[in-house]
Amino acid sequence: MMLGNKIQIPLLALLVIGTLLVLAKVMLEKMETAPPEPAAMLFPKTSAMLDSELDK
Amino acid sequence: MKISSLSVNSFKDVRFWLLALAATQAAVYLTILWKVDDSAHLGMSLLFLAAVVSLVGDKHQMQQLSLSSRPIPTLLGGLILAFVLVQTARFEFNHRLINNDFLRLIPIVSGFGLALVASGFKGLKVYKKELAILFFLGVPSVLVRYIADISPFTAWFSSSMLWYAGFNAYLNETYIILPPENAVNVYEGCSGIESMNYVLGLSIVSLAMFPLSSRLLSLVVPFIGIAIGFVVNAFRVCLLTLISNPENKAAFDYWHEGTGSLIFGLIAVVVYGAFYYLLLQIEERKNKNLSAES
Repeated sequence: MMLGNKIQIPLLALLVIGTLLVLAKVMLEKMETAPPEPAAMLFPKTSAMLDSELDK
Repeated sequence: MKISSLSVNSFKDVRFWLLALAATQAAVYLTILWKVDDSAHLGMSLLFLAAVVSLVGDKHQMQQLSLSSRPIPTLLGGLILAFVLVQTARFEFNHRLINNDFLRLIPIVSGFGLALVASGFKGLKVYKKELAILFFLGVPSVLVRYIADISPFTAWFSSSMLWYAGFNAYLNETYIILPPENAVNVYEGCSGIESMNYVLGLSIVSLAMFPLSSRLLSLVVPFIGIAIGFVVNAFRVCLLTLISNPENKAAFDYWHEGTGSLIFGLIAVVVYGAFYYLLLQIEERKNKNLSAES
């Protein structure tokens, strides 16, 4: 058995434990409430509103 | 491996640990996407990961997997996976996480690390299809953020479509104006880049799982996928322009941010699926004719 193969299982076991801990953290973490909705990426404006905006 | 056959010996089997690590890494990534409410990317990630699982499963059945690695690639892969874990643990769960570049890169970086631990440097060659799928799941959307904003082109294309359809639409920078009172501003998020990325990724998945015999077609298909994503989004922008007057606010919100916006993603996927299915049918017919002639 190659040395790489000998260290494979302990390394993988450590990583699995670490990932399970991170999974638990992610699941328990609460999302911060979002701030008020930003302006829509694509929003309706009347031509009159647009013209006055462009005039500025 | 059946659950009933799980025994102490399973823990000595490297396949068990690789499977456990891949499954837990995927669970962390999908949980984050679910928490940040990125339903479009969550759906696509599930599809792409299913494709990767299917390809690796096929290789396993055909005994093409060699799960042995030298110390250097094993340790390098371990370090990469540990780096992903540390970065993931440091995420702050707020609304900005949805735009986090590293979140999009997790699948390819983890896949790279897993391939190194599982099969060493030769693993990168063995799993090239799987790594290509994971690459196209997130990397193009990150790269494109720093390269170009195509929203002026989307606005021009959509206003041209409206004009050719007989509407009196005209363009002012990124504003599409449809007198008397309809107007929209095509921002970066509505440029269609996300839709193009998804269909591009989907084209890579389809080419990896159902390859075409023609090399030229295989090269062209991703570009056609990008074009389908762009054109379907342009139709969405046209629809939004047509309903963008103050009386239609509810309808506008539905097609802009609500379920309606997801329907256009679905349309792009269905159009691409039909196109690729047609290509496969044509190839099959050609091959049948060739074998009948010979």
